[in-house]
Amino acid sequence: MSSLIAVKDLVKIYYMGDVEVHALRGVSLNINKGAYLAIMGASGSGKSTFMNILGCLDLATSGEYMLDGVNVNTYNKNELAALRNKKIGFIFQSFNILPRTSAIENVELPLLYNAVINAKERREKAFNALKSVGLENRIYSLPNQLSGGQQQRVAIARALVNDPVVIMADEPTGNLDSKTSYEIMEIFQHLNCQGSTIVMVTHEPDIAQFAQSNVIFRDGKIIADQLVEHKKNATEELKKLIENTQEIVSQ
Amino acid sequence: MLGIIIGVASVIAMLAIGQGSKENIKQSISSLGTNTIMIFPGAFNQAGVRMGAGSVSTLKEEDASIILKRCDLVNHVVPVVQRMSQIIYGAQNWRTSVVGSYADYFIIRDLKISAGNIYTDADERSAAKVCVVGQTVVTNLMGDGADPIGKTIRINSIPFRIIGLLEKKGQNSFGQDQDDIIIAPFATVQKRMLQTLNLNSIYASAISEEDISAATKLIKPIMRESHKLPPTDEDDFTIRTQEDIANIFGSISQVMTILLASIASISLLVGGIGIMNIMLVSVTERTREIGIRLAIGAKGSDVMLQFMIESIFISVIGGIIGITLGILISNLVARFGGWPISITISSILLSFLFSAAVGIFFGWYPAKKASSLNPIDALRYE
Repeated sequence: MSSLIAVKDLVKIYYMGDVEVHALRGVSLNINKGAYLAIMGASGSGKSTFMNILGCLDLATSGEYMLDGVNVNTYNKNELAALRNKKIGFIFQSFNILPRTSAIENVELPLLYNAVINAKERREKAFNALKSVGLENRIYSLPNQLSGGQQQRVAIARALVNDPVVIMADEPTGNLDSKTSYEIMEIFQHLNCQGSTIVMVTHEPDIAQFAQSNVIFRDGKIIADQLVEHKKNATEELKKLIENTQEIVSQ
Repeated sequence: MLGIIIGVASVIAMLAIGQGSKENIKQSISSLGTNTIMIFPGAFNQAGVRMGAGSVSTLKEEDASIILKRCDLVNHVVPVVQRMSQIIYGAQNWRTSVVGSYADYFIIRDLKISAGNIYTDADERSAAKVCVVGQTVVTNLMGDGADPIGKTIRINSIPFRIIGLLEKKGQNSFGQDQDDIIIAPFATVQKRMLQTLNLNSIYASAISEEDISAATKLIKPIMRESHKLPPTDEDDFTIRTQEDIANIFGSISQVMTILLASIASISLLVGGIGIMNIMLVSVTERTREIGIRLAIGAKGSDVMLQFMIESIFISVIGGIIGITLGILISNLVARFGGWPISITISSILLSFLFSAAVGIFFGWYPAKKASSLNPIDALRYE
């Protein structure tokens, strides 16, 4: 299998006044097409920094980053913007969808910055993306009329709408309860089955069990890269959770 | 948007009120007759002894019409004949100054009628025996509060019908009673009373105060040519203007101009700061939105374009509402405050362009700053 993402000796140093903070101290990793990777680690271990660099939101201090055959380090700001637009779908912990803007307009947003798509196609693609996350009935809802899980699903639809080569999720379940988290994981597993590559940061071990493999960060370095032995199926887990809840309620 | 509306409206209202006051003051000063130009006959000169202004009779009625025709900085020119005469009404008599001039004399001297009418051009052509009298004349001949209209008085034994009463003016700055006067058509006084071709003076009014000195310079050669004076001869006439009053007028108008300019710049400054704050705050609080747009693939230029269009839109709409509101406020002040206003195109343009420029700049600047951030920094902005 060919590597979709290849990073080598990635270093990131933040300067807080006079103090240098070494967020990443030489990270190397290959991610294949069709992979479903969960990045774990305590806070401050560098996993979010790594994610931002993978998502082309930030640039590394040194090291190499090849994404889908292009050398990201040589790109300027505008080229990086185009890269984010076409190749990456980014999902945030705090959803980051525009307030006072309907679900479908939020999903259409990345397509607005893609000149080759006209208004009709844009609406169609956005609707299909919302349908794939099960929100086809709420397309004109505003973010404040949606629950946290629904808002995150709008964000996922937005990440999907441009057919990215990789979906990156930075703690996508961090602000959600376990039931909603499982629903989001169900969507991720479904997307992965259809061939999407997913990179996800999480600090919840049970969420990481839904991925194919786990990478563990500590102090800016990868300390473990292992396959998940007993991969959980989100649909089944969700069913179990609902049954448990009903039992508790009936007792 | 509110900042722009209030900024534009306040500038327009302040300028309208200021400009109105300036024009009001200008008008009151003009009514003193500051734009009057007086031409008197020259000095009698025999063997080097000169007899003082008015000692020769050189002015003719034609001079007035030539000046009116050839000098376009004056709008009214009248010939004046004047003589102290004995007036008889019933058993009373009184000596006063009788002035003969065209009806335009009332306009030049800013004389108003409190009862009756002034004489017409037809009266002038037929040398009608009609006259307009001052209040002092009426009081002395007929008693206080009498109605003189329609009564007949005798001036040098010639009967004149009174057709108008002058509005009371009181004394002038030299203690002369301005109401002690009788004014009659030029032809009547000249032909019927005095049988003379010589004028006592010619009165002209310049179009505006600023034109007085230019008009004076124009009149001089016209008069010389009309009198066929060789270049070596002295002028056989003197031109006088009310220079001291004109000077006061000039300095008051200068003070008003400075006052207006400072009002305008202060209100522009205050309005500008209001607009600046609102635009700065509203764009800065959208830094997160800019971060989101950058994160999903917007280029810096895309974000800039969006915010430029938004601030232009807000500035233009706010400016238009502000102009409307400013005109409305000015008119309210005019109606309920009884204050004169004058809304000028330049004040509208000035306030609108300034506000739009401030609004667009302070919409553009924070957007520029935010869109040049790393997307991740813009997203973290609180």
